[in-house]
Formats: sequence, structure tokens, C-alpha cells
Amino acid sequence: MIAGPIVAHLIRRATKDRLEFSAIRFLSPSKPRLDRRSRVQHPLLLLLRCLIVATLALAFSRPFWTQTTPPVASEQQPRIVIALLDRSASMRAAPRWSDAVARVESIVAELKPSDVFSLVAFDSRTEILLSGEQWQSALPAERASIVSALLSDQSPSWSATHLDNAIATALESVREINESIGGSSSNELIVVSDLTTGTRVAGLAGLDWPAHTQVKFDSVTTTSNTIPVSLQWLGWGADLGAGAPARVRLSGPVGAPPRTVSLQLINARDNTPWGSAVETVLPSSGTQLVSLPVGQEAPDALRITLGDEAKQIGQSLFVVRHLNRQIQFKIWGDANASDLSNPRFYLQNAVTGWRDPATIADDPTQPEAPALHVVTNPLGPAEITQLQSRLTAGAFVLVLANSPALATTAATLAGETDWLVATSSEPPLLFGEIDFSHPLFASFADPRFSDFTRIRFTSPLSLTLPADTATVVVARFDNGQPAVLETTVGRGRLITWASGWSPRETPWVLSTKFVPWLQAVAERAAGGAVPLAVTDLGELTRLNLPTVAGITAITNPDTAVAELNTPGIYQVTAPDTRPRLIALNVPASETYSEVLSWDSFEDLGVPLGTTLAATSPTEVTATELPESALVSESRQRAWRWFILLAIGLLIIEGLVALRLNRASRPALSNS
Amino acid sequence: MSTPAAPSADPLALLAVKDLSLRAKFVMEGVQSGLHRSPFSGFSSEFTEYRQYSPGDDLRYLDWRAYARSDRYYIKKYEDETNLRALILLDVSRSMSFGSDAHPKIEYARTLAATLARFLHEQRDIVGTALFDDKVRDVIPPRWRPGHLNHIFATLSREPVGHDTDIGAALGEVARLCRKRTLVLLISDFLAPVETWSTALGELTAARHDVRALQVLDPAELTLDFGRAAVWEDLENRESRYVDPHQARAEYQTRINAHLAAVKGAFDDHGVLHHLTTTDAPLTDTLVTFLQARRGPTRGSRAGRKESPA
Repeated sequence: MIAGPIVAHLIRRATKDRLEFSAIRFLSPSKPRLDRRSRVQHPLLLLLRCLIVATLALAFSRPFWTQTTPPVASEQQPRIVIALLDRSASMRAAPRWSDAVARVESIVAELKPSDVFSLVAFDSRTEILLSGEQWQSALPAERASIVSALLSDQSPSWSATHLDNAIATALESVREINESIGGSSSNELIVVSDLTTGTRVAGLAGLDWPAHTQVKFDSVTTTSNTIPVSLQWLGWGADLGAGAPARVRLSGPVGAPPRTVSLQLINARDNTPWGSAVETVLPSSGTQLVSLPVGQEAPDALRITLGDEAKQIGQSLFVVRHLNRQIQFKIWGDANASDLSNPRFYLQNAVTGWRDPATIADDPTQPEAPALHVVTNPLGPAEITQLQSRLTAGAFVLVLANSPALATTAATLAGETDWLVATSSEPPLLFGEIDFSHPLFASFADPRFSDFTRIRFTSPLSLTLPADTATVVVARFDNGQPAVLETTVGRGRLITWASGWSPRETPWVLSTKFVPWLQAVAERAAGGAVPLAVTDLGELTRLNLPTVAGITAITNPDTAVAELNTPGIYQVTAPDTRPRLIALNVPASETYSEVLSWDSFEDLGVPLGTTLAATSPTEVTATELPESALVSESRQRAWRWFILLAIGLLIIEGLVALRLNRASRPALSNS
Repeated sequence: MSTPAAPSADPLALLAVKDLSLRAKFVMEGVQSGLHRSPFSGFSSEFTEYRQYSPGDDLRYLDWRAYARSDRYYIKKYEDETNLRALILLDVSRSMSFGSDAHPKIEYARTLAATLARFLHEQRDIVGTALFDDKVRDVIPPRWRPGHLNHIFATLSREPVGHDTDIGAALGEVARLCRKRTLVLLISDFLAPVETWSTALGELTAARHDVRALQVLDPAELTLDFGRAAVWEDLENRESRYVDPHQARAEYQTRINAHLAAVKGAFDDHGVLHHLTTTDAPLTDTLVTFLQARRGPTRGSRAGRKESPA
């Protein structure tokens, strides 16, 4: 390569000067003058150019100097070794866990008495099983047995793998041990894990690595050639009348030949198959979305399994089916449903066809069931007593108070007797103030829907509440009088409108807001919005669980359950709420079977050592690299200095060439 | 022969003037001071008839003799027509762009052409110009009208596109363009082989056009006192060869002198006045010499000359 400039300098001696002339035809060609001596014209330039080429070649070869490290093996200073044991759900695949335990034990066996060891187990949480201080305080002869005992108490969990958190904790331990022992010769973090692609490593990018720290990976990935297919939950599809279908994603190896897989629904309560298996083809792209028909009659607790492969992780999904709720609906008023001036006409038309909650007739024998009562006529004392009991049991009662008698009924139902009622003779009123943060109007909070200016009230009542009232004014007319009120009575709610709903009194029932508003009230009466019921372990916060009073495992009722830490379906009971079913699954990230590449750690700036065991073909290249080369090359930056040197030489060469060019130009012109 | 012109400005300094018309004016002053009288005298308007005097007429044209004869005032009327048509034919081929010093031959030749145009125009002769390389490119037909001179200057100032020289084709084209007898002032380096244009020159002179040739060469083209050992490339046909001027000089001078002799012989054969100049010669000297050389042998046979009836 360095011969390039030399050759170029020698070649340059042949003249390439060109001159233009007008009368070439009168000229005879001259014989070229050839220098017989091999003479280099500008030796300084040649030297500089050779140096530039050599420096660039050195820089691109990324040289490093092998040191006697891992740094400075001072016999007096101990080594810090921290083993990070992965106990996530993916480690359940045999024989990963037993392999991992054996690896940790072999690491301990290779330690010198002066070394400081710490054992950290991690999944989505990180736990220091054995601290450096405990290791040092134990007798050297007993240390291995202590570690073995700790390992025997461990087992894989069902959680995700958060390697970044674990390494951050281990680095803290390294710092603490360093402080306590006054410095170490080297720090080694040995990660014993299957290192699947679901491992969370993003947090490694921001870590501050102490000096002389290396991370080594001890992979325990299975050598199985058949990478299994896994299931991931996507959610329930749209209910088009035949029950909402279950949407799942099938994931398999990319590039494998297409294969047929069967999906089977199983009743999670009695573990019996539900319906027939559904077969689908997993293409070679490795991903297939499946919409699994479930049917309206299906049980609420279901398990979806992947044919006969359901014994492996990620091949079984627990799901809770949302059953459409029912709500008792009753109108206390005129029975003439065909009278267009009667609110009953609009109410009954509005609730027709609802699926969730679906309205059913009132059943006084089930006072605890969700119910919505609408009062359009004044009630007698017996009826008021009946309604009050329903209110207390949790029913929602809506009173359309277009007369003082109805207002008195509402006040009686609210348990308040000193409401002042008067008829208003003012011109038509509008809503002047609406509390959009209240559940009654929350669905209209968006500015696109919050225009109530077209809804007038021709003959509203003027209500004045006492100062100590428990009734909340949700909306007011533009003259400041209460328009919509809500009173909490027992577990139920009393909603009072200070106006009737017939079209003569207000166009409210003809408005596009009427049906959504009524449905929001009914849904609230039926228990509120449908909460999330299926999630991954470790993401329980997404379920918005209230203070849990009791947990019952639906899928394994004989087992006493204290914590939600295993996949399955549970019934959660909390005070003042109805029992709720939830389904917990293995995190989707734990179902991935491919192994993380070495590059992903290098990109994150991890000071890599080497893998201690190579079982995955994808890691062979990285594993075969000599440890010292990898470490030394990643640590040393000699190539940068060579680049800088080359740039400097280039500048000098440019200046010298310029000077030589200027010096030769006058001579040329003189010729 | 009159004495040579007074020392004029250095051609290098003169050619540094960008404005061609201004440059022509400077040269013109030198030419006029160098000539005792115009070489083209007598090119005035021609008498046509008498007319009765009426108040307001210019008394300079009053014919006193006719008044004496007839006791009537007569005004002589002249036909507004010159008896000389001139066409300046300038070579703008690529070979004219050669120059061993700061200015190429084309600049020198362009200045000469502009000065000649101005000279003729101020004599009220009608003058035109044509630029040629392998054919005639831009033609300004001979006219006399306001702004015509500026038009000529603008055309002469136009940068040449750059083609090979074909003097023969250009002369043939001029013969086709000029129906009337015309003074053709041909400015070129005449480096093209003589046989390629001598026939066309003969046809032009045979058509009774008055042709004068002004050959403009760079001094280095005569002596080859130029350049260095290198690959020399022809400006027109791009032929290249390695030339060491020290080795090639003697043979070159022999060949170029032979060519110049052939050129002169061709012009002499066709009765064309030929003048050779180099770009280091003062422009005024060149013009004066060129113009004075015309007056001797060609006087009395100038094309289009008529006797005055007066």
C-alpha cells in the first residue's frame, strides 16, 4: 500500500504538460527526453504521503495492545464477582433452570478465597440473595454450601426479564463492595440467563460503568432445533351479534416452512374443551393473527391452548370473557307509550336494542340487581318507600320533576324535605353551567360535544336547596337555578331534572345527546365501564384493582392464593364492589425463543467479556473471539489518534505541495 | 509613400481597453495623425440636378457659376449615395485565439476591424462586417445609418464559438452575399493551407470585388520562441504531438516561411494587396501601412468610383 505514493512519484516524471498552439502542422514531433536515472522529484512529499497512507492503514486496522489485564492482576487485591441469575418465566423451559443453577455453582467453585462474590436473582424484580458482605463473613469452606442452599430455594417465576434493572443493582453492589474492601483488581458481572429477545436491556444504555468492570454472559439457551409457536393475547374483537371473537397472535420462527396449528378453547372452570378446535396455518413469516369465534353461550373463564403443544410457556392463554350485563328498567308514569308527548315513548325507544347493559323488566324480588327507574308521575308513600329501598340497594332513579309534586317526590326520595319549589314564569331557559367532570355529563366534556345551547326549557321548576344538602348540583340553568341534581342514597343514586322531558317542555329527548346520556346513566347503574380483565403478570396496575379483600383462583380452586403471581383466572373481591374475574398470563416477552445478538449489547455500551458457555449458534462468533482482544479493542482508542495524526500529516503535505508548486511555477514560466 | 505614423500607444496597453469602440477611437486618432490625407478621398455625394433656390436653403450649395450664367439662383442637389461599399471579413476561428502574451490574435484583429469600420464610416462610406470560421457566422450588411457602427462594434465584440478555419468557404459565401462591387477587407492569420482558399479568392476578385488581406500573426508563430517541451495540441483539429521547441524551431521557421511565401504568392496572383503584421506591432502603424499601401498601385481602379459631373 505504501508503494502507491512511490509509484505515483515515479510515474509523474513522464510529462503530462499540454500546450495549445495554432500551427501544429508546421511542427515536427520531437523525441521525448527520458530521464534515465530513477529520480524522485520531491522526496519530502513522498515521505509525507507514505506516512499518511501508513497511518490511515494503521487507524483502519484498529490496533490495540494486549495488556496483562483484565486489568492489573494484583495478587493483593481481590476480585469482585457478581452472578446474576435469571429466574424469569422463560427459564422454566427445561433444562434451562437446572443448567443455570449448575453454572452458578461452578462459578462459585472457581473463585479464590480472596474473591468477593455476590448472588443476584432477577426477573421483573431484582433480589440480592447473597451480598458481598455476607459472603465475606461466611467461612470459606461453607460458602459453596450457602450458595447451594440459596439456589435450592429458588425457582423460576412467571415474570418478565428486566436485565437492565438487575445489572444496575449489581453495579451498586460493586460500588458498595469496592468501598468496603478498598478497591478491587477487577469486577465481573456474570449473567446466567437464556438471553431471549424478550429480555429488557434498554436501560443498559444509561449506566455508569465502574472502572475494570466486565460483563460476561453465560447463556443457558436450549439447543432444540424446533422453536415452538407461542400465543399472545390481543383482546376481544367487535361483537357483531354472535359474541365477541378472541383475537390472538401466533408467533413462530421466521423463515420456517408453513405449518398448521390448532387452537382449542377450554372452559377454565372445569378444564373441559369448549367447542371444536380451530385450525390455522402459520406462514413462514412467523406471525399470524387469528380471530377465534367464541359464541355467546361460552363461559366467562376460558383458556386458549395451542393444540398438543400447550405444555410449554406461552402456548396457553387465560382469558376472561366479558358477559353482557343486564339492567332492570322501569318507568313510573303514564303507560301510554304511543303518546308523543309522553317521555315513555322516547325512553322505551331509546333503550331498545341495547346489548351492554341490556334492559330487562323490573324484578322486585332481586333488589340488589342493577336497576334504572324513571319517575315521570308523582308517587304515593308506598311507592316512595319501595323506591327508597331499591335506591339503598344500588338502583339508579331518575325523577323528571316538571311539577312541584314531582319535586317533592324527589326530595322525599333524597331524604331531604326542605327543598323550596316554585314554578318559573321566565322566558325559556338554557343550561347555563354544566359540570363536565361529573359522570353524568363527562361523555360530553369534549368541546365538539359540549354545545347545549339548542336545548331550551320552557317551563322549568325553580328549586332551592338547603345549605346542608347532600345533593350535588350537576347543571344549572342560565338564571342560576339548579337544573340537574344528583343525590347519593345508600348504594344508589337519585338523579333529578328540574324539568319535564316532553317535547313541549324541552327538545332534550329529540337531541342527539339524549340517548348517549341515558346509556351512560344505565352503564353507570350497571357497574360502570367494563374494566380490563386480561393482562400480563407484572402489569397488575393496569387492572385498576381496588383494595383486594380476597382472591379466589378459578383455574385451581383448591389452591390457597395469597398473591397474584401465577398465570390463571382469579376472582377478586373488594368491599362495596361486585366480585370481578381477572386473567393473568405469562408476559409476551417471555414467549420469545430467539436469542439476543451480541451486537445489541455492544451498541448499548456494555463492557463485554466473553460468554462462558455457548449453546446458541447465533453466539458462536462472539464466543470464539478471544477475550483479551474484545476487551482490549473496546477499551483502547488508538485508532482515533492515528486518524488525527493522518489529518495533521495531510495538512502538512498540502502546505509543502503548495510551496513546491509555487516554487516551480516561476521556473516553468521562465522556460 | 508617406512617412510612417508617429509612435503610437503600446498595443498591450491599447488592447487592455475593454470597450471596442473606444479602442477604435484611440487607434483612429493615431491613424489620422499618421496620414496626411485620407486614402479614400473623393468618396462624396454625387451631383444629380439643379433646383430653384428658395429662402432657407443652405447657401453653401448655391451654384455661383450658374447664377452668373443665368442670373438665377440654383441649388445643386446631390444624390445621397456613396460610391464605396466595404465589408470587413474577420476570422474568428479557434486558431485566432492563440496568443503568446496576454492578448490573443483575435483581440488585435478585432481592434483593427473596428478601427477600419469607424474610419470608413466617418468617411460616409457604407461599411458592413462578417465573422467567419468554417463558414460565415454573423453578417452585418454594408449600410450607412445611425447606430450602424455600434451594431458593427457589438458584432465584433461577440465572443467566437470556436470552430476550425475554412477561408475558402467564407470567401465563397461573401461572393454570394455581395452582389455589388465591394471593398473586402479580409483579416485572418491565413494559417490554413493556401490551396484550400486560393481558388475562392480568385473567384471573388474575378467578380470585380476589391479584396485586401491583412494577415495577423503572433510573433511566436513566426519564430517559435515560445513554450516548453510538452505535448502540443492544435487549437483547431486537436491533433497533438510531443514538441520540444528547441529541437523543432529551425524546421518550423523553414516551414512557416515557406507557407508565408505561398500566401503572399497567392495574393499576388490574384492582385490582392496583402499586408502581414504581428500582434506586437503598434496598431496605428499597422493600419497606416495597410492603408497607404493601398493608395499606390490600386489608385484609379477602385471599384465603384465614378467621375463627378461637376
